[in-house]
Parts: sequence; C-alpha cells; structure tokens
Amino acid sequence: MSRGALIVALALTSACRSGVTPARLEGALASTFANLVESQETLMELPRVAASDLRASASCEKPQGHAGGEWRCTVTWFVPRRRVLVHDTYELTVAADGCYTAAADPSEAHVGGPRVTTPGGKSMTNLLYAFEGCFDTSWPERDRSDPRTSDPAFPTPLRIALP
Amino acid sequence: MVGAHTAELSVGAPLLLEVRGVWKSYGDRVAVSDVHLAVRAGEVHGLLGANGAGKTTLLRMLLGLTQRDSGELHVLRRTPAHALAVVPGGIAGFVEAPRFYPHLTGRANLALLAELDGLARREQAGMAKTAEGLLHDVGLERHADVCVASYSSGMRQRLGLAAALLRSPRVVVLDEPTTSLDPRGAREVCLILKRLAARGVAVVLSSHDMREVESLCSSLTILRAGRVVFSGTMDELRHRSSGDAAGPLAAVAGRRLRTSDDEYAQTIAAEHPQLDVARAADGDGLDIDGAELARDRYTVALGQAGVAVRSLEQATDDLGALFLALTTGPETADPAPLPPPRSPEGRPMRPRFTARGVMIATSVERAKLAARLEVRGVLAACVCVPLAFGAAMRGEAVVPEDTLFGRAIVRSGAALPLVVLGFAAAWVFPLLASVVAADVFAAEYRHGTWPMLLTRSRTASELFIGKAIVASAFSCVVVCLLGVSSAGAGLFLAGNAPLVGLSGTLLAGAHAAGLTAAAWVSVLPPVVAFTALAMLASIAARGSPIGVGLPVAAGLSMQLLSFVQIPEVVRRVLLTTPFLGWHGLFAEPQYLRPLVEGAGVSAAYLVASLSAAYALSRTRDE
Repeated sequence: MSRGALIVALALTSACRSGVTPARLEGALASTFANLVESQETLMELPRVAASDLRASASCEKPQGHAGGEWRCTVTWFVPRRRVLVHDTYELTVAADGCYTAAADPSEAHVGGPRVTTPGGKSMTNLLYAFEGCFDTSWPERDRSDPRTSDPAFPTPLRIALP
Repeated sequence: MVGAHTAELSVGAPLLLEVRGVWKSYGDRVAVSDVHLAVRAGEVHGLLGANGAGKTTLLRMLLGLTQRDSGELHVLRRTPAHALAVVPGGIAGFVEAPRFYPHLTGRANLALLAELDGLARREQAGMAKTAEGLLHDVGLERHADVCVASYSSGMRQRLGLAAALLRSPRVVVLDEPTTSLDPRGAREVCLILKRLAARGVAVVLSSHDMREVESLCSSLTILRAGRVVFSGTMDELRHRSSGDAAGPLAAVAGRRLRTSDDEYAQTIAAEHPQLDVARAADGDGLDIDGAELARDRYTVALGQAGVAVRSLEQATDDLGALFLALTTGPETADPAPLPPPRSPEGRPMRPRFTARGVMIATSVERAKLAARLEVRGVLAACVCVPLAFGAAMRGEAVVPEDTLFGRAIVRSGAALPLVVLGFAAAWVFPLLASVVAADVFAAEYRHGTWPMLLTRSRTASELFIGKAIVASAFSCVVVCLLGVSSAGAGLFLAGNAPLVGLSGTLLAGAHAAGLTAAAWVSVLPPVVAFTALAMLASIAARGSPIGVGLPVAAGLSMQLLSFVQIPEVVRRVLLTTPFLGWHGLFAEPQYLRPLVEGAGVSAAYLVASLSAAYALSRTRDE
C-alpha cells in the first residue's frame, strides 16, 4: 500500500514537474552558443572555428523577483584567436516547451552589438547578440554541459534527414 | 376514371406497406397508439386527422426518420431504413414542408439528391433526362435554373415531389402534398399521384382536406389522438356515412332548407317541436335538425300552408360530417391501452454503411462546398495574406523579434513560413479548421435539409463520415495553401539562403525548406482535431457561430494557459501544444517526442470529439 502510494506520488510529481531545469537550459544554451559562433564565422567568411574548440559552458539562475520564464545565464567561452576565456551574460525568456529567446547584456558583451561587419565591409546581423533556441524538456540531466552526449529519454522513432 | 382504375388495380395487388400494432411515445405523451395499416400496389391511401393526431409521426416512421417504440413496420418487406436504400423501386417522400439548399438552383438540388442516391454515376444521361421530365411534370421547368431561395412554398412543394419521384419509388409517402398550392397546382399534383397509382405505385398521403382525399384516395385511415378511429376503403366510409341515423353522422348532419318564404316557414316550425329550425348563419335558408319522419311532416305542412319548398339538402357533405364526428366531440371509444414495453425487435435495424456510400456522401458534400462563396473567399485569403505579409516586410527594418525565427525573416526564405506557422497556432488554425466544419451540420439544421438527406439512400453514418471527411480535408487544404503561399512569400523576401536552426547550426536552403515542409505537415493532426471539435460544437449548439467561436476560444485559452505555471502533464494534453511540436525538427540533435506525443493527443481529441458529435447527431435525427 505504502509502496504503491509512493510510486504513484513519484509518477505524479514527475509528470507535474516542469521540464525546464537549470541543467537542461545550461547544456542547451552553451551548445547553441558554440554552434552560433561557428555559424557566424562561416557566414562572415572567416577561418572556420569548430564549436568544440570554444569549450563553452553556461551557468543559469532565476533572478529574484522575476517572472516564471525569466532566467539570467552567464556563458563562459574560450576565444581561440585571442586564447582567452571570456564571460557573456544573457537574459533569457524560456517557454514551458523548452524554447527560449536570449539577449546579450550590452554592458558586458564580448560578443559585440546588434550588427557586425565582415572583413569585406558588409554589415550583417550579429547572431550572438540575440538568438533563440529549443531543447527537449525530457532530456536526462546526467551531463550538464552538452545535451548531445546524453541519450534522449524518449525513443526517437525516426530521424528526419533531409538534404 | 383514373381513380376507378386505381381501385380496381389494387384489389389483390401485392402488399407494399404494412404497419402492425405500432406505438410511439414522446415522454409521457403517446403520439401513435397501436396503429395498423396496409397499403397495396396501386392504392392511394389517405391519412386523416386533426393537428396532433399522429399523422406526421406515422409518416416519419414510414420514412425511417423516427424509430417506433414497438410493433412491426414493413415497407416492401423490409425495414423503412432498408427500403430507403433501394433505388430505384424503394420508398421516397417527405414529411412537413420539403426543404432544399436555398443557394442552389432547383436543378442543382435535384442533381445533388440524385448523386446521393447513387443515380448520377450510374446513368448520368438517363438521370438528367429523368430530372428534366420530372421538372416538367411538376411545372417547374421554367424555374429549374433559379435559386431555391426565391421559390414560393408551392414551388418548393412541387420540387419536393420531383425529388421524391427521382428515386422511381414503388412506395411514395407525402405529408400534405397539396398544401401551399393554388387550386390548379393542387389538381396537377393529384393527377401525378393518380398516374403513379395507375402504374402500381403505392401512395400514402396525409391531408386535412376530406374532399381531396375523397377524390384521390381509394382507402383511408382516420387518426384521433394517435389512435385509428376508421380504416378502410372510401366505399366503406361512404356506406357508413349514409347508413345509420343513430351513428355519429346523425349528431352533426343538419339540413339546409330553402323555401319561397323562409320567415313564414320558421313560424310554421313552431308547430313541430321535434324539429330544431333556425335561420342559417349565412342567411341562405334555414338550418333544420331532426329525424327524417319529422322533416317529412314539416315539408308537407309547408306545402299545405302555401310555402313552396325549393331545396332540402345536407348542410355539409356526408364524408366531411363523418370526419368531423370521428375527430371532434367527445371520445366514445375505450381509453387507450397502456403501450407495451419497448422491445429490441421493435427498433428497426439500420443498414450498415459501406465504403461506396461514404464516397458518395463525400462527393456530395464536396459539391455543396464548392458552391459556397465564403469557402472560395477563405481559400483566396490563405493565398493572398502571406504574400501580402511578405511584400510588407520587404525593405522593412523592423522584424518580429518576439517570434521564433522572426529575426531571420529577412535572412532566409525558410523563416517566413515558420513565423506564420508560429503565429497561426494560437487562433488562426482553430479558425480555419472551423470555417467549414462548423457549418456542415449547422447548415442542414438551418435550411431544414437534414431529414431530406436521411430519406435518401445513404445512412446517417455515411452522411456523418462524408461530412467529417470533407471538413477535415478542407482544413488540411487551407493549411497547406497557407504553407505554400508562405513559402513563396519567404522566397520572394529572402531567397533560398541558409537558416540558423534552433541549436545555432546552419541549415542549408534545401534542408531548411524540407524541414519547414515537415513542420507544416506536423500541424495537420491538431488542425483535424480542431475540425472535429468545431463539428461537435456546431451540432451541440445547432448553429455555426458557436461552432466557429468555441474552437477559437479554446485555442486562445489553451495558448494563454500554457504561458502560466501549470503542471507539465496538463500542458502536454492541451490541444495547442501539438502546434509547437515541430520545434524539435530544427534542433541538433532533433527530438521528435513532442511531435509523437502531439499526434497522440490530437488523435485522442479527434476520436472523443467525433464520437460525441456522432452520438449527438443521432439523437438529433428525430
């Protein structure tokens, strides 16, 4: 009786708990940030930088007195060309389905302003200044740094592979 | 002549319609009580009774529109529902005023009904000829291409007759077929019915008009408060009316006397106390009541007094008097027995629906949909609005930053359709899903055409499935149109540039386009579920405004609910959550759990809504 009740209670708690946890958010944000750096370098036609070379990590917390979906995250990353470790702060609005929008704090941004200029002198949107991302709210939280290293909790029946 | 021939033909002719001990109650009110009826081929059988006598209920049971509580009812040795499925050579007719789609012409209405009966495909050329001939027979050939909305009630009555005869039935059931017709129209309809009877068709018609019944019918049944008070041939009724002076006729059958001096004749009447003599209300002579012998003495006395008797005739005709005697005044019969308990045998078996029947019902629904202007308007809007949005965004510095992919709208062609997809989830998709779904049943209720559809060859299940298929298909088509138009607008705005995915990776143009197409396809299950919800709401409320309003309100409420802190399990079962399942397609690695879960949630809503809608539509059949 008591064991059954415990199982039901655990199942209910698990089912009712939000899937947006600091560990999942940190893993997704760091990964997305690193990919965005790589994408931006590619679009700016700069020498390629691998996302893994950035060794990006994130640390997130809910600011005191802010609404439910508001988060403040610090991304720490290694700038390969300058060979230094820098910190950037982002304000995040995270929806219950795991999708978020991130905007850099301009006062301490190493990522630059809303627009960047390519070596060819062309102005383009800075992907790192404000961006959006999504993560699976059912990912296991074993590895807080990179969701790609963890197995999806839900079996993926097929992978949509398109050209 | 034709009537006489009809009477001869029906003697010994096969029994086409048989009612034995049928009962029907609505709550505590017994509408039809232990009714027996038999109609043979070539017979025109009249059903008479005052309002509320049970005529229409009996006719509805004959046409399978109302289920009897107990008793036996056979049409062509089948249940009414099975007889309806037989075309040609089955049963056809209408109860109350026949109803049609007002925005379609008379000819188009007949074509739809012919298609519903499976006639249009079978013999298209022959069918058109039959319909043409029928329109001529009922005097509508000059109005065949006019919308039914402008028809008079008499013209609708004629079209109702044509619609019934289109099925080439062996049994025709008509509820007051000459109501609303001018005398010439009524005469034409009577001639058509007599011709049908002469060809061996059994006709059952209800009427208030004893003269019409007398001229048209070879037999009749008179109902009073749901019970049969007379059933037999016209000759039997005539015999009864002219016979017995102590019978019911005597109580009401007065005489009208016209003399050379009515005033003096009334004075002489004072010497004949056995007679009741009074001035006629219309001033035309004297009304006298009394036994035949007393009348004889009175007329002799008038002659002796020098008053000439110009005429002495019945104040009302015999049959009319008998009808009044039978259907008005105090009841002399025994009180109605209690109805027997409802028995499963008493409920008619419904023919099972077939795939062909569903296909036909779907085809008819599609044709009705194609004729609606607002449907074309919605399709045009789905094409034009995204293109207009794309054109408006061109050269615009401000982009919708608060929407996923909003910042990318001017960078990649795949972004605009995804922005539209995200925007439409809240209320546009529920609205598009409801436009047709909310009206497929509501329009039938509004126009009163649902009973007419049920008296054709298709079962209620086939009609329901056909409507559900067409409504769902329309919802899918508008979503696809919106998606294709959005993709075109996106390409126009930003070309086929790579898209930055939701994990920051670059997705090549073709890859992004493929994923965008998959994202649009992924919203189809919840859209179809909203379609079913709209059908349910419109059937429950019997109106399309609720059918449209409820899904839109539900969509907005669920969207708002997902923004506040609710248990995760609740968020996952909201019908708007599957609209967001495509996000995982643009992540790296992809995660499809929300898509699979969303499809399951959509399927659950779909099944629940359709089941409830079907059950509700069946209870509304009556």
